[in-house]
Amino acid sequence: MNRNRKQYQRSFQVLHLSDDFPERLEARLSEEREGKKMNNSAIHGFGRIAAAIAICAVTLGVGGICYAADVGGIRTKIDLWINGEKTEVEVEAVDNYYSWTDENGQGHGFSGVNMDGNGNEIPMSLDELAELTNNDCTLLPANGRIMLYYKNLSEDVTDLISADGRLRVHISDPQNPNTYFDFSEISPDGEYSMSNSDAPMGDAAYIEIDAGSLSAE
Amino acid sequence: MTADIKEICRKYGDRLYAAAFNICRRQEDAEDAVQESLLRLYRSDTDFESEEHLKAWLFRVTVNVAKSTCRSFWNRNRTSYEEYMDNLNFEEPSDRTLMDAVLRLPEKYRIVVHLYYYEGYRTREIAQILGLSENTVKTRLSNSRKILKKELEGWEDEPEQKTISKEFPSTASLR
Repeated sequence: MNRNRKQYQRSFQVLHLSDDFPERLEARLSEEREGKKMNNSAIHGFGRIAAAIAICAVTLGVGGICYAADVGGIRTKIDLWINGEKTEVEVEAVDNYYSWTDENGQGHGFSGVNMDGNGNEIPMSLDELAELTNNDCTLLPANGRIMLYYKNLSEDVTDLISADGRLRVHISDPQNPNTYFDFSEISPDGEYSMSNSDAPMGDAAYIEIDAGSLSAE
Repeated sequence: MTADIKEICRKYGDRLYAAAFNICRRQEDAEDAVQESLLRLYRSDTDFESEEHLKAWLFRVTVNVAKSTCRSFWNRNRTSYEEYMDNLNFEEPSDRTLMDAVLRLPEKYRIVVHLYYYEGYRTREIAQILGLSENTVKTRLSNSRKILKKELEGWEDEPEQKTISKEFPSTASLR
């Protein structure tokens, strides 16, 4: 081994992970096992569309609030389901981060990545992000009730939530394979955790939500 | 799989951390990068052909995550690592001088140097991990050696591998 390499290795071998790293890793692995993809408490108060965006950010592991400012990116119009209504929003794209402002002046944004087999991150297109967001199911408190929103569906699910704050629903949507939604830790003020899947998880019973009026769009 | 991840962390954790620290130059960001890489491994359904394939995958993901972290808005101007180095137990004072010199290299040089000197990868293998051409890797290695030779008294001359490409600064490095 040449001298440069020997000294380099001696120099850098003093770097070690913190003693509590294995413990922190185990905690994160436990969260993964439980399938808790989102803790809505972190985004409570931002409204339904913000929740949908945060799901993208958390689930896909990418955020980018620092790019949310209007810095002159390319503008594109897309349709998003917002509170049961298809709404056209004009998004601005900067460095694969898409942002827009709603009619109340509230800023929103999303970004995400796919990973290939070699671990390379490939930024998701706006269409992919919009599809992901539009296939999301969310809960929102309104007048003391809890409303469920999915595309153009809106259902009062207050009485379907179990005493321990759990709600499992299935919505028959042929356009979306992941329509088994598991909400847990639902609080009266609209905080919850949610995961979704393409099949029932374990032996749990799922409440069928009438998808008769589901938009075919 | 969880047990496997823990075992992989025990086996490669410190090495991934050294690579991530080489890029981020911040303990917290480097540890976050290692954790994120191990979580991605947990979620991944990649069929690894060998231990080497797994190791190379881990380095590639860790490098990518670490780069994303240290290029974020919040971290661009937070590069103070001297305080952290004060708490490291270097065997010789010259070891600290070397680490300091390496960490002051441009980021795109640092990781090439690290994978070459610390992990013992060949230039062709580094090119595959980083998604670069082998000539680019050789150029970066050659430029790094010249800088380190000027900075460090004990840095020895090494035979250069001939290259035919000339590298220009990338847009990312100019941010």
